[in-house]
Amino acid sequence: MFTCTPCGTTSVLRDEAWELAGTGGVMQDAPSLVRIGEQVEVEGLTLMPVGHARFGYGRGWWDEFWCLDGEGEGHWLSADEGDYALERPLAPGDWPSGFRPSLGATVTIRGETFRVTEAETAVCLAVRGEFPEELEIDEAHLYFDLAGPGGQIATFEKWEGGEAWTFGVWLDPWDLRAA
Amino acid sequence: MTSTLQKLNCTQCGAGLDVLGGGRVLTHVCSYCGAELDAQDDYKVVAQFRDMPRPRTPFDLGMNGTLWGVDFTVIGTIAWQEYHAGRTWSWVDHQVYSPTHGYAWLSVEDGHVTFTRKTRDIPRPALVSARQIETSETRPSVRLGGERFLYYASGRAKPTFIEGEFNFRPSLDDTADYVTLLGETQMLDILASGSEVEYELTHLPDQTDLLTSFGVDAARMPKPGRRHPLDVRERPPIQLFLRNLAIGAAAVSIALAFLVSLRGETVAVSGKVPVSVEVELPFTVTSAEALTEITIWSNANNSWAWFEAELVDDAEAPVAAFERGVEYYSGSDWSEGSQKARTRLRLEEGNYTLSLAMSEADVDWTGGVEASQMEASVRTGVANPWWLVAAGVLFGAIGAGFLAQSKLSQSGRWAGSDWDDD
Repeated sequence: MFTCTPCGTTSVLRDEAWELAGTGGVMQDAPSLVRIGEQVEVEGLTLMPVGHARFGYGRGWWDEFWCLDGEGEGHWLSADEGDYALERPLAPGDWPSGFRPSLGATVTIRGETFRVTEAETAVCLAVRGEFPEELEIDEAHLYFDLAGPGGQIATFEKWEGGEAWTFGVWLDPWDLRAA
Repeated sequence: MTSTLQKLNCTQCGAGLDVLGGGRVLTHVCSYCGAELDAQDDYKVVAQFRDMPRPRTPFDLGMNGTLWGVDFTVIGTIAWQEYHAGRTWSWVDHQVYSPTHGYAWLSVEDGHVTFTRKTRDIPRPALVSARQIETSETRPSVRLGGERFLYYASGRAKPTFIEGEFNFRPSLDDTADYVTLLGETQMLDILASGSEVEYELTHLPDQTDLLTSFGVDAARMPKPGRRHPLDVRERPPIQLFLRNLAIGAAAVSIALAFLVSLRGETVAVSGKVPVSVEVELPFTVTSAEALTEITIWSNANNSWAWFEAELVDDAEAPVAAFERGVEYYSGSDWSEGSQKARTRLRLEEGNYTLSLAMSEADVDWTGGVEASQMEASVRTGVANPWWLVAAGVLFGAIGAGFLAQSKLSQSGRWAGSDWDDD
């Protein structure tokens, strides 16, 4: 999926053909340590943000950046008022079984215990750039953040079209550097 | 990140309130009526705080400033008090907010302003228990990010004043148990509240830069009390250089003194003779530049012997006369005195004769043996190393002064600690 910067429309690649999917929504300007097209160094990786999605939770919002590293691998870099996390999609084979999404629930991922610390229903407010999946404006996403040992984070995301797991680490904003 | 709401009216008293924090603010406590409003639920009143004495602080809600290149806004104020053993400690925490770096604290205590932020890293060990503090022989310590933190203080504090916005729900009924540990450049706080444990790191920013950046009125800033434990007074490189130079010079001086003391040539030895005979020992001095050293040895053991010496030149004219005593005492694990006595003279070039005779001796210690033999020897070309020894002592004293200053500076950092070595 990508957003056309001049006209603000989004297109989705289906069956090797681009289809018009709607608009990219309104992305209000806000101070940020991460911007599309500006490389950042984090966790020993040099990442290029290529997609920017904003999710609203009523009173506020947070940003998700789809970034590519030097090997072309994709990472989600989330920024929420000083809380930054770097996560990679978890392969379906690693998805935990029997997870019942609720605050305080525990689950084992890659041999480590994770606990749900935050649950949020968020609406996709705006998208810019390229993404590995289709994001629809005004679509509701149910998010569960899980905390693991050693500053690890896992996120379970559920929306009308499906669900996904990501896995990674919390970042210190003071360690985030422009490359 | 917050939406565009920038002002609201208190749903309790109607007063106009600025919205300064971001979307993660949970609570807004009205500055006018003390109502606690739920920022996530249409600012409904969830509690009412009364009788809150306003603390003395130079920071007001809405003040902006820069810390290490990041802009922060003061959005909340909590004053704390702690009582222990008849003493009271009080300080003021201000919650500050940055759209890019999130929520942190500026704290005003004892005339110092510190910057504190949460860390998700967990120290090892993760907790320092009250029992550990009570029973440990040495200060408990933890490691975090490669840095070692030593126990500094602990206690339980209660809020006495709450105002503004917070990313949690504070209450006047709260208590906060804390353990503070001190590292080289930062402090680590382990905070326990209910079943939750949080870790915070505190830094001491440059006070002048901070106060200028936030536009603080200097008259409102409390006068600093004792030195802050994070006030690491880095000594200028020239001071470290001088310290190392002094220590190096002391070592070199002592080493040179030792080498100089080895100089000289033994030119005459009487050999061991009974103390009943008088020693006549001729010798020649070839250089008037250096000293001549006359050594008298006797086998006095736990006793003493007194010797009279006379030095005459070629023409048998007296050049010098002196008396020297030899006394030596020892036990199973001690000894005192020496069986040798030395005299140094400056003599002109020429031939001399040393006359030496024992004048008196006595045994004055249990098991003592009176001197029965003696020997005289003459060494020429001797140098006096005492000026080098004096220089070594002087340089050593300077180096020790620098080291003592450093030690004193370190101990000053711990002056406010509640740790008792006993």
